[in-house]
Amino acid sequence: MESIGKNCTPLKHEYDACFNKWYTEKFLKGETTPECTELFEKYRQCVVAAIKEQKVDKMLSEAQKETKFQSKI
Amino acid sequence: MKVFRHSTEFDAPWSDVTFAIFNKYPNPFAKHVLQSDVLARSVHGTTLTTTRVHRKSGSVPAWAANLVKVNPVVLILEDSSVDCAARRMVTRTRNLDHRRMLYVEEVQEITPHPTNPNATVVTTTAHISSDLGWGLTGRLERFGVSRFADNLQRSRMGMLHVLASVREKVKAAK
Repeated sequence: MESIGKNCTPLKHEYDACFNKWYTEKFLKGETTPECTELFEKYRQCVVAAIKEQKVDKMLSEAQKETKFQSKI
Repeated sequence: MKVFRHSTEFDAPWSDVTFAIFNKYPNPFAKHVLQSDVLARSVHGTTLTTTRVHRKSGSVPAWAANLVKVNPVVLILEDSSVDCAARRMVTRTRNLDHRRMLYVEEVQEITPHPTNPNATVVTTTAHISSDLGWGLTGRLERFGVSRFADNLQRSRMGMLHVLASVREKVKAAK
């Protein structure tokens, strides 16, 4: 699966692999201390840059602030 | 606005299903998903919160394509939380653009089957609304509902595919 930023795809794959291992071997077993944080930060910064470059940063940040939803969870 | 409700089960434990959701793409039934990224992730107590963005190629009904100049690509935001102690996952997914034409907000709740520990229940609720006007609201919303139902079927096929490959990996690791 590709990242929104083409050049971020290798970072995404590296992070996803780390997350998958942590999720199955630690988190699901109740060991909730986060891992993969450095990898995620590298990946995230790449994605943030791609999002800005594609001019969808405003749309994304506004959507992330939304609180009014149709469905109650 | 139309509300769509659906409940289904998977013959797989809750932990496998939640893992499969995070690894849903790519799969052969989701060719329309072009790109996918994690935007944010954090843990509070026993709950993992994630925000993902997906770029999907959308479908516009033929009769609407002439009326609206639509770039057939849509950005989707997915918020999820997984509580590993309560064994409950909730996802909320909504489109970020093309909202006037069709706004779909989908909530899924993923929990272990009440009596079968090797099965998982997924309930889906979607609110589908159109604000385009021109007397097209009803027609667009009906299109939205019917497409949502089709996509849910395809999504289930995709999940089954991912779950099967998860099982293979687990077998190989033993």
